[in-house]
Amino acid sequence: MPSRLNEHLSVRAALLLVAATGALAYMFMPSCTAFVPDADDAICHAIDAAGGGPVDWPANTYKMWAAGQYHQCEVFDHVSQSWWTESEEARDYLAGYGIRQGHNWAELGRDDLTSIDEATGYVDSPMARTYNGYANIAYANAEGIDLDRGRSLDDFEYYDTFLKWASAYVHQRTFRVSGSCERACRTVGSSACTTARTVSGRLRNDYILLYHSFFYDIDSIWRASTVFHEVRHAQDGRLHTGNGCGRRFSCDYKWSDAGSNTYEMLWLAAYFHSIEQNEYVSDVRQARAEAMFEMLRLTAFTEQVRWNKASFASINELPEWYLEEVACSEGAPTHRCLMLAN
Amino acid sequence: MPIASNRPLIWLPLVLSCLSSLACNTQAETSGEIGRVTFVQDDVAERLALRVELTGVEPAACMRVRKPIEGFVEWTENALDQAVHQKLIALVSDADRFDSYRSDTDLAARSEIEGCSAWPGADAPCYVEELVVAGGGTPWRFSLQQGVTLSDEGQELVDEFLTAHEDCSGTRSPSETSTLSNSSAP
Repeated sequence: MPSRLNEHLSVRAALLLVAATGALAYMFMPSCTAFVPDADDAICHAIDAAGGGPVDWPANTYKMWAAGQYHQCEVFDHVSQSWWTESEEARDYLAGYGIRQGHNWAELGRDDLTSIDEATGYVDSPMARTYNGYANIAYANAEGIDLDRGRSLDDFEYYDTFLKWASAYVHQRTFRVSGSCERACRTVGSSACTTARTVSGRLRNDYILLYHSFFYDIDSIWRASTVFHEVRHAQDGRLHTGNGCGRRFSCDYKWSDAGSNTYEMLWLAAYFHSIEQNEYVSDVRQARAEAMFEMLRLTAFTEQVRWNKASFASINELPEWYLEEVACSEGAPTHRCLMLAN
Repeated sequence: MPIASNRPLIWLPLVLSCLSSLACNTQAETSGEIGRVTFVQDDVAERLALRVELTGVEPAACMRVRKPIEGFVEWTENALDQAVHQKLIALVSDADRFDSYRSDTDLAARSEIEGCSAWPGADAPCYVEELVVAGGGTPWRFSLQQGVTLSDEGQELVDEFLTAHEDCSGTRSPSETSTLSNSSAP
């Protein structure tokens, strides 16, 4: 009898061991999967065609700007506005947001960062476009790449503006940022495409995956706010809670859920209300951030948002106040909560 | 082998499994989708929404839901009548109309402030009656509040949105459909 029991236990132990090994293997599994490019995957085809030599990167798509409203935002990718191209230190700082741990960057232009489209003067590799997105996060505060991003996120004496806190938040709450050559549209020829996807996890097993549309369909301010959105999914693990919002995808139920859309809007509000205008924070960039803020306010929540951009006028002066207020309880609203919790 | 000595062997994988499942407590979240024009019409009682892809490769998606919005909202996906799709996209892509849309948007912002200032009860949400059209730029807003007069261009866009919404949701009568299809024939 004892020997049969032992045998049973050994079998169970072996099964559990296999399960545990499988789970551990899953935990450390890289984010890439076997992939066969389809007709839309222009980056994949360009890499393939280069055969290991210089890649002829795709041109901007910008289908959403068919109306021409924001055509000038393309210039954010001009080499003269890609501030990190002249500085190894700057590139190192930007890589520290999680790109360094990411997959696929070697084939997406790691050694081709200053490659320029000769017709436009824009940096054109996917990795360079990603750096331009992150540069808006890094350089939007006065300290820029001298900001110490490692301090506690509660240290509001040091992070005395929202934009300083935001840079540290992105650094501390993301582990891995990877790129993909996929276009990730719903069907071939469709313009409905995914820009980014995040797998959440608390133990440095989170990752953000960036697609073709992130590099070539949206401007660098939109890229920056998308990153901030994704980071809220990553280690904080906030998933979308709503449905029935106007834009249909990525809906949060309401503002005070403090989800990814709320955080994305906080960064956009801080950016367009920033008074630290310099070569890195320009009128055009701020106007772009304002437009993005409005789009999210009007279409990204199930419940209509009750306030407007003016409510955020002092977000940079009082970052901790805004961060606390977004999470304030619906059940015990204060006067200030009422303004921000719809 | 005594049972007691097996226990660590049994529990170790179990603990590892639990730890790894905690570590792997991951969920994929797709976000940041782009590429469509979104129309949202809100009033106090209900929301109408329509998403139209520029290229028309994908079917349009639409929904109509009572407020407050609770539970799962069902969207209907339908290919729009080609003439309806083309006209709607033409109206939001015609740069000559943008000044009128911007004027309507400014008017909506002003009427929102006036309307919500007079809203009964500070604790109650102030629902703004308007149509929002959002894509990649600044959204256009068209107030549907009484007393607000839209530009001709804005009114035409509102009317065309309603036609497209009916087409998507299947509430447009066949005679209307055939009339439109015939009128758009080359």
